[in-house]
Amino acid sequence: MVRSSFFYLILAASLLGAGLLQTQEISVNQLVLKADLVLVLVIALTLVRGLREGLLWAFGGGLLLDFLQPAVMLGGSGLLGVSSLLLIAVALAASLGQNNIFEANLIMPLATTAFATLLYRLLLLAFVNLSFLISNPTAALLRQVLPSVVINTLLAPLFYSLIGWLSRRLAPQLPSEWQ
Amino acid sequence: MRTSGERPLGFGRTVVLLLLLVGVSLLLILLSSGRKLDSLQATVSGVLAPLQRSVSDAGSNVSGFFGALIDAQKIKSENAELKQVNEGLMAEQAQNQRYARENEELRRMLAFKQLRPDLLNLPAQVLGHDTVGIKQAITIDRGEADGVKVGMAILSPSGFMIGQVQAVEPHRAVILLLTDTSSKVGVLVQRTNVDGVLEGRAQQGGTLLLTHVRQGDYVGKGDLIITSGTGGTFPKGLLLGQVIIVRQLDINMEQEAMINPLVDTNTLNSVLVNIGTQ
Repeated sequence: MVRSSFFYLILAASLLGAGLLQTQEISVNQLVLKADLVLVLVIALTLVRGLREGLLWAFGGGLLLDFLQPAVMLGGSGLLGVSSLLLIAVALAASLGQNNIFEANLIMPLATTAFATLLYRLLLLAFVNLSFLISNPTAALLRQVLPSVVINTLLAPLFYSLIGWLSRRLAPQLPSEWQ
Repeated sequence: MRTSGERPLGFGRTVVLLLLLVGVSLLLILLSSGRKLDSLQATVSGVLAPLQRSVSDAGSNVSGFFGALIDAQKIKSENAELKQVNEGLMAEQAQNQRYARENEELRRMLAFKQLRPDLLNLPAQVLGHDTVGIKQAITIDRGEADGVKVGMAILSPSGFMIGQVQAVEPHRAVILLLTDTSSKVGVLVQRTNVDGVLEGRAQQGGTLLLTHVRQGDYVGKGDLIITSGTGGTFPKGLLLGQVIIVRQLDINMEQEAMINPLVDTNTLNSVLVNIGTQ
């Protein structure tokens, strides 16, 4: 009981940390590092802990993002709940990659993260800047979508391994119906 | 092992949870579009703002630390003495670099204040950048409570205009940078007083574009672009950028010019909010 509470406490702190870091731009000698940390965390959680927990983390993570950064930055609407809706869609997409047969290797998290990021970015663009997506689809893909797909996919093994390790060490066993 | 009898029950519960969360999200969107959640958003944002500021400071330290690390490794191959530099000294160096940068920004603000004493400027700290990179925007730690209003000009510490306030909350504001494709500012070529419109082009791979300049109006490479002040949103004469290339557009009897912004907004820690003139 204490171990599982500790597990969820660590996850909540990680989500908060990911959200706070995501709103910063850390540059190292002109190189700008940027990743959708909350998105990658939600995908890893969905893969490791199942869709039901993934949905809850997606909802919470989305709210956190909307509070940390005014949603007005995403398109001038200032709407709370937009990020939650997008991350719930991501959790749903990520659950397609949940497969215990491949639990030990990293192909599934890599492929799932790439696919889910693609979906997230396209939905985001469609919601925020549909005219840009329609008028400049190549530029939108090359400049807004693909860089995120690459960075998030590179981060996926780290997040997946860490969440998997934490889950095996501390988390309560999931009932099969949750997976 | 999942049995065929368990799956429908678990699946059904998951669908209920999914519908519930989607429903709550949609409800939140509906309520916040009617501005019924403003006080909740302001309260939570107020609680989170100090955390964001701490992470922003830590981010500067991390950035400075790694920058120093890379520099040290370059020099290490040439100078054996630097091998003895330990992490403590490097962290100290990173801290000093940060102080030096802040000091430099403050000196620039002071110099600009002396140059344009007519402008009333409010110093603000940059809290963060747009996380998704779709909008060219930053958040600052000044808001409605400090007198910040939508449309006000945002300047770099040296006094170059970098954007304008797009939205305000009680204690923070969102700044739309000039380089965003939705940004349009009425401008003048400083040397010839030719007028035009400065548009952002960042999402299309560029930076700034001067448009709506009539054929025959003289615009040359190296010319400085300043705000025209028309519309009264912000003062006339704020520097925005410099002409790099001029292109003649035969089709619609206009010419346009690529403009180089005078400030790298990625490296800014603080800015000035122009709250008016005296």
